[in-house]
Amino acid sequence: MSDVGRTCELERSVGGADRGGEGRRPETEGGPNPLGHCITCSDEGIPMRIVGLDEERCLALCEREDGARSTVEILLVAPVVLGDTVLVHAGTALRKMEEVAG
Amino acid sequence: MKYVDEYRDAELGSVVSAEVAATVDANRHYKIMEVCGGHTHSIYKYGVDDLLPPNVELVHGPGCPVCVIPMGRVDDGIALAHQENVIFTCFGDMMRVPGSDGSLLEAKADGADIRMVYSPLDALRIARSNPERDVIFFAIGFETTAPSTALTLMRARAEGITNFFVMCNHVTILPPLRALLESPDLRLDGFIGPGHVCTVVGAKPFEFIPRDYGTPLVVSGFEPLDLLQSVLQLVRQLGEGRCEVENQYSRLVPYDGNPAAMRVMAEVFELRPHFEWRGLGFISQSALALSEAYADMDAERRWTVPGVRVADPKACQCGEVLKGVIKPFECKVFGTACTPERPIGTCMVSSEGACAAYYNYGRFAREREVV
Repeated sequence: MSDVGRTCELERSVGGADRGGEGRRPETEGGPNPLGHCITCSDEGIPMRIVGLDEERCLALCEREDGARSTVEILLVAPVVLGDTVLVHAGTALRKMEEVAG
Repeated sequence: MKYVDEYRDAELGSVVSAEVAATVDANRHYKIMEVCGGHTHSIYKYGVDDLLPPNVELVHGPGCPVCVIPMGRVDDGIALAHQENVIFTCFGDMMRVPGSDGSLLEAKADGADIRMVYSPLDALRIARSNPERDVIFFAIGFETTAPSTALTLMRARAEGITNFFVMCNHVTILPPLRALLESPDLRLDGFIGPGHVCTVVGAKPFEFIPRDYGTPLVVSGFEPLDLLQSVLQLVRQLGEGRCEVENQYSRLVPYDGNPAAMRVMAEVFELRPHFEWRGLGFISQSALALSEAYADMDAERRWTVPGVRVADPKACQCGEVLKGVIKPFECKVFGTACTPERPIGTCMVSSEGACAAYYNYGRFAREREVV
């Protein structure tokens, strides 16, 4: 399968996951947010686990603690591998967790 | 979940809380500002302030991107949303922020095609699947969010997408902090630094605060234990006569920031000469615009926006709340005319806004507030 095909697949699966997760998101635009998070900037940073990778396009499919999934930019934290936990803000992974020594 | 549960441990929390109580000087009042709206939200969600001694007062800073957007920019966004053949996209809370003549949500009800997205990447996806329409993303946020917008613009360019535009309202955190520190209204004893902004810019740029203004700063995480630990580090510094930048959030914040993120921001953005902040007025070099290299994707160049400066409603005291001068409940319209359902001011809109945090978590125990 071409890279483009792979990407589409990733995006499709992500789109489906997004819909699946929608029950946990605000039901009406601008309504109260059951997550208790700020939906303005897609919350503070959320730790998410990488469950799918498209390294060519620097995109990953990431899963939140509660199972909701979304597509995430990983250029800023590359290289990453499946199973890594990253801090995600507004669809972009900002840090690989455990990267910085305490 | 790893990295989360251990920072919500109640037993450890009471240990740190007792340590704060043992460290503070009972004869002194501590006024500590949490810069970031995410911190404000966590503090009230977990009741962190109730675990602090009564002479440690937390005041809220200007770090909620929705709260600092002035009315005129909302009007500009609505004007863009009404352009022909345009799909206007923005984050959810932004839709409820009142402009001078209604919000984006009301503009949507009037027929404008306005859609809520969770990331700039979602907006790009809409552009990709609607090649015959022009898609505008209303970009807001501090340095935490700016790299997302930058990466999405670079991605759009790389994919040859020509119907994706950005109305850039990204702001930077340091200039308003300097403005606050210069302001005679407020005497602060310490800052809880914005952890997620620091994952991008690092803790280093904040060094001027202890150096030039003699106020210590601790970069903090967002879990309740992170916040307690940061307060402890601040009161320790004050007790020992130290004044420096400390990094409590070292599990995520590298002292020098994320160079890759700084690079993409430098490529896509340039500093605006000045930008208006709600309640704080015009602050020079405090916001970002698209650079010349991305000018063709700048919605404000592609279309004309009114660009009119609109004064905030008289009843609204968001400005004082954003500067930490008054507490949300001290505002005349808090909880009466201004509620999260029908906000007058921005601080009541976003859950990171101080007023909304007070409202949602029942912060009505006013006797607890020591001013």
